[in-house]
Amino acid sequence: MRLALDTRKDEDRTLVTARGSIDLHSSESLQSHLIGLLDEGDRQIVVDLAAVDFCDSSGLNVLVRAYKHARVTNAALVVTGAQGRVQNVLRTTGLDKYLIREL
Amino acid sequence: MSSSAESNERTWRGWMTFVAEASELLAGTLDPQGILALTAQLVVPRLATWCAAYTDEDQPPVYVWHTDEDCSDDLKHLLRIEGLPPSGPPVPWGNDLACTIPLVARGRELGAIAIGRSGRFPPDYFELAEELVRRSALALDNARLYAEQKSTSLALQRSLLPPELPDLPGFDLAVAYNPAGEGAEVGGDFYDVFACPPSEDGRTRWRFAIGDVCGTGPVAAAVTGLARHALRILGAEGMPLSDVVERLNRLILAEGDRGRLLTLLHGELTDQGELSLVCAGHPLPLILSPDGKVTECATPQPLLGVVEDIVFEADATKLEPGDVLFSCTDGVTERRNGEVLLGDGNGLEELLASCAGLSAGAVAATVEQAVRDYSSDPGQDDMAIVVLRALD
Repeated sequence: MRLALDTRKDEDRTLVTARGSIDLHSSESLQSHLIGLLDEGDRQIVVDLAAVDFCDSSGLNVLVRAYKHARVTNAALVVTGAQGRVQNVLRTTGLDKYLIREL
Repeated sequence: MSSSAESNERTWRGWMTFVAEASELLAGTLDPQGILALTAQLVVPRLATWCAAYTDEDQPPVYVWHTDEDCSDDLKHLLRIEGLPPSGPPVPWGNDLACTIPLVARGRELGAIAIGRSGRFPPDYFELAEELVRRSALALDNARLYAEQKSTSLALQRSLLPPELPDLPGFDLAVAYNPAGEGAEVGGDFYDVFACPPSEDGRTRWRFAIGDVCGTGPVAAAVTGLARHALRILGAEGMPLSDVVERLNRLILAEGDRGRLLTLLHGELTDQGELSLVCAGHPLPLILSPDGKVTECATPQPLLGVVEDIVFEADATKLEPGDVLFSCTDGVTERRNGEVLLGDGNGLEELLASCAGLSAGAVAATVEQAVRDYSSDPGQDDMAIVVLRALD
């Protein structure tokens, strides 16, 4: 299953809804999208993973990169809605502590 | 168009197709012997009566192909006595017209192909043979480069695993390791088991690690090397387990852009079966009891390479006689068959429960086999497994 990204900008918040699998084939497109938003000046990004069925280590790598990029640009990036496998992998990798927060 | 022009056109088209097909065949193989054999078979009988392929002109030919097999020995004999025919257009040689075409690619001489025809040797045929040998030389050079890269990767891969495993009296230890595919790229999985200085109360202890660096290739391998050596050096200094993981996290972050995410299970085992475990973002280790019960035996902590100020804590547990500690990388749990993964639900726990009573080696082999059989697709990810069993 491929990855589809839908982006909605509110006043001060950007919601990126991801659908599909974040893996070796699709992680790059997610990375350039999130980094692009941050570089355009978006300060609060929420990545909705409710419709993502799989996220491998390259996907985690992208989320971490975007999270770090947000920190150095004085922005914030969080994820929401993770369930099933994706919730599991965020829990075992301890990334939930950083990525799952209220903005 | 006159009929002779038409037939010329036909012949020309035929040769073009021949050269195109030959190129495709040659480009499709990365085995030097195979390339030479293929070249010989492409040349004979279409262009020449015989062909001899050399990788070193001072050595006997590696391939001799003759339309008449009975003449092969005479030809080899003649080549031995006369040496190779001169290079350049064919000249009388023995009873034939023959020449040698050097195998040269990217300025490097890789051998030579000698060809001969009994009777006439049209210039077109010589030119086509030259063209074919040029392509064959390129294919040989590609094969050489590929073999070089593969052996570099293999050497690098081996350097990331311990040269040998220590003997653990009272325990049964087994590991399984499968780099992804047979490609020329180094994977990111590693494991290690080594003896540590005795604890304060004089107990013998060992440390073990299983980890997965995000990504593959030399950059990932560099992080793997850093991790494995850091664990050994800091362990030999007697640094507590959780501090070692903390230090490694900082070392990886200090690599900056060259750093990679690392999931790591680091453990310490005493001769009494006491276990300390730090599971940093790694698939949780499981303990299989002799009665088939499977339990998670560590709490998840963050993976390494994300942020600096993480405090890790070691989980303490005990390996009772007959208990098996099982740890693996996500190449096991994320093994895919269509939409489902081996680790979905309690996939791994159930698989492990079926291993109750088995030796460490048999547990590792059972899981390895289950991963292989899970799908008909060849796996795309590396896989490492470390199994420790307390003897009864």
